[in-house]
Amino acid sequence: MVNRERSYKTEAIILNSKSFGESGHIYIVFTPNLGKLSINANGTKKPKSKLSGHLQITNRCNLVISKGRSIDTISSAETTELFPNIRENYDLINNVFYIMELFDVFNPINEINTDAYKLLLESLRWLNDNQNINLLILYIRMKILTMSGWDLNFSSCNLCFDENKENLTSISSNHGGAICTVCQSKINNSLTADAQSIKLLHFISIAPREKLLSISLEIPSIKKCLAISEFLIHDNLGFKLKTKLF
Amino acid sequence: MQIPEQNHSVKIISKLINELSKLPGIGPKSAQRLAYHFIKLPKSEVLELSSSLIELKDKIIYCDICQNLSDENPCSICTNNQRDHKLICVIEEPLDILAFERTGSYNGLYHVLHGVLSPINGIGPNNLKINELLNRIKVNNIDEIILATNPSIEGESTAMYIQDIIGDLVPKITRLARGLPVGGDIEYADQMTIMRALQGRQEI
Repeated sequence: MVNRERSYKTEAIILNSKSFGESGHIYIVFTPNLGKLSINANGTKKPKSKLSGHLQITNRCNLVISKGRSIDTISSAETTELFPNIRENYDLINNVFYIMELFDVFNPINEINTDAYKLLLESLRWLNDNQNINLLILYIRMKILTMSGWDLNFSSCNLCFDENKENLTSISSNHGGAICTVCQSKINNSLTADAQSIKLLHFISIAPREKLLSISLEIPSIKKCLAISEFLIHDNLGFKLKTKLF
Repeated sequence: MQIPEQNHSVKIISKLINELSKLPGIGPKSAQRLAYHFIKLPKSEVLELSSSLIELKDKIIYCDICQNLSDENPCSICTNNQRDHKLICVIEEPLDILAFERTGSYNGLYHVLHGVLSPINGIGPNNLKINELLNRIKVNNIDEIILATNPSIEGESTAMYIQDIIGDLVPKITRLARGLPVGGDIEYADQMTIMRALQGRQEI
């Protein structure tokens, strides 16, 4: 039977917005059940708009959306969760822009990914607590790569299957993760990494948030892993994220 | 089916429709309507419109001081001695000046940033007129800077960034009050607006 409902309701997190028409915006929102959506809201530039306050980037809200011929339009919005600390701190704002772009580029329009939605919500709560932000970025990068189908293997060499972790000395996303010293010379586009960083990346990609926060990690180790994870993200996307340029 | 070759006059109309549809908010249908409207207009009115457009491109410049659009350099606001030259209101876009001037209650100068920091859209500090503001503050004796960027996340981050770099150079930096709009309805206000309105409440 044809669905004749003219509107639908969904929970969403606002990823990005851009000006549209005389007084409206196009919002990129991420939902648990419908994936990423691009929707319009009218009059949101006006001070008396009932929607604009609820549709700020990072807000988690309940939306009522009217179906349109070319683009759907938000008819009602109500904030369900705010992350006020993020808006008060310049560094947190920069990080949240990076996180939003990461979720935007890794999730195509209308592709449902409930786990990614949960990860985004978890990340915003973590960021709002302003706790170990470098570890958070590392955690998001590794989880988002896994969720997007890039389940990298760090426990053995992806070419010769050597399981001796001390021999793992480089990373290649094209070859599925860790590469040993012997195989490194056979491939192009790999990044040299020490065995310790590869072990840490392996741990981060499988550990839940609570376990990760309960152990103490050294800052230089996290920074090394951040550089490797950035290489992996760049290698998978094939382009640099705009937010990384600043 | 073979499409008949267009005659010369239609080509001219097509060209105009093509040019008009490049304008923001104008789709092909609106461009078509406008093009046929121009055909009906007296020649004098069309010439006036075209000369205004050419004049706009030839004469409109950025004021070296406030970075606002003007037909003279410095602009009429920056050269007005009746205004308070020790007070600068930092705004996002030239159109924001019109909103402030409409109130008739602001007598200071302006500084137009021409945008806000938005890393997600590739706009960083070097894309805005922030260095010009910094130089202006260093050269002139400024008492107060009002950061009047929009209360969006991009506007807030821009205000925080500017506050960070000019904090030691200006004795007083203020931010526009945030809260409920005049004629607004508390029932529909979001949590952040009500929080800000409560924080900024005033004794009556």
